[in-house]
Amino acid sequence: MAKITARDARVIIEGHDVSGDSNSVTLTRNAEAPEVTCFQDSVRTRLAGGVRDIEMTVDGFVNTSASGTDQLYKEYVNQEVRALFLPENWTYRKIGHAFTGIISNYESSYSVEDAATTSITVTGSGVCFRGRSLGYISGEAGSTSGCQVDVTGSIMDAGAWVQWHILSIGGCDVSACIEHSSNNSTYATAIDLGTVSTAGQTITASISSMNRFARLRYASGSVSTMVAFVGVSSSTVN
Amino acid sequence: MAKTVARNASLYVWDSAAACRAISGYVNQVTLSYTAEAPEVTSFGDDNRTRLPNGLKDYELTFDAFFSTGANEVDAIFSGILGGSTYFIFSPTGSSTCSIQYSACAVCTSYEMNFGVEDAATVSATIVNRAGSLTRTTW
Repeated sequence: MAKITARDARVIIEGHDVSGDSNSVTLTRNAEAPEVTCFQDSVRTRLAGGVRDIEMTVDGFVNTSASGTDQLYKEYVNQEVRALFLPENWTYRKIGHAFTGIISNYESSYSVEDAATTSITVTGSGVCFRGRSLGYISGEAGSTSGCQVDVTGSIMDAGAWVQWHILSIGGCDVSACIEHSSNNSTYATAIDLGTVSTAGQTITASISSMNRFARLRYASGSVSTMVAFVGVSSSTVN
Repeated sequence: MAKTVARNASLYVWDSAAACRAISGYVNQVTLSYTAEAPEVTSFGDDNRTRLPNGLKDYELTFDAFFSTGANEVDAIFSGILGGSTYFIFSPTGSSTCSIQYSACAVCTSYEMNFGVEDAATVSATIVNRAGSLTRTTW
């Protein structure tokens, strides 16, 4: 698969798409490798399987409008948020990284000759997973979104995670569930994500056992927009 | 032997399924740093700092590459092996017969992804020693 330009990336934080006010993202994942070097060793020796961590910094421009980045970031400093980063936009099947974290820093800069800029740091706190988008969904009641989340053709025995970002609600509550299938033909509910009445929210849930193919089934009384993302925390997604 | 250009270097990394993956096609910079402790034993009366040989050795391999989401490519590989056991082979002049290669059992301690509106998406990663030593041999 080709190398990519970064200009189509999407950043969603707690049900808010901040991509339109962002121009740079750095996602850093670390792992501890405890040293166990002892006498008689000639080379430093370390252990695998150490605790992992994640940090995302998002740079962009100050937006002081209602529900803009300035209001959003100030409100969420030191709060736990669900973050989703999609390098190639939120089209269904696109790869992304999702995690739960805390906005530990919000910095805004102002200079006479420049545009006002912002920078936030989201520090990981809990699950982090790589997966695929089930698509950007804008529609009314009773629709489904078909997508494959493929893990080498086998059931995700280690379980899966889902983030459901509700970007806007047309006026009525929105409810959704993740459906899965082993053959992309017969689908069953993998997990019920519940009902949301306010936009700008994110639902995160773990799925103990999930089949190869996944899609979002939702019900909304009016046009609502949302993004669903499914992945695994300890393996790669094909 | 002559000095060499670096553009033919090759890098292989073992993924979370212990499969060898060639990632050279995405990598554009590699640094392999091989170090040794040299404990200082400078004492009163010495004119110069004095150190001991045969100290503990270590290495760190860092590389820069372009981000790719394909199966068995950079993002999938390093998302999967972060913190886990891996193995690598780095060949400064490529992997043809008699070319030098460095290899070792390793652990990935850092995987960073960078995205800017005007740039190609890039990554960088750090691999350090897990067990055994850094081996230098030929293909």
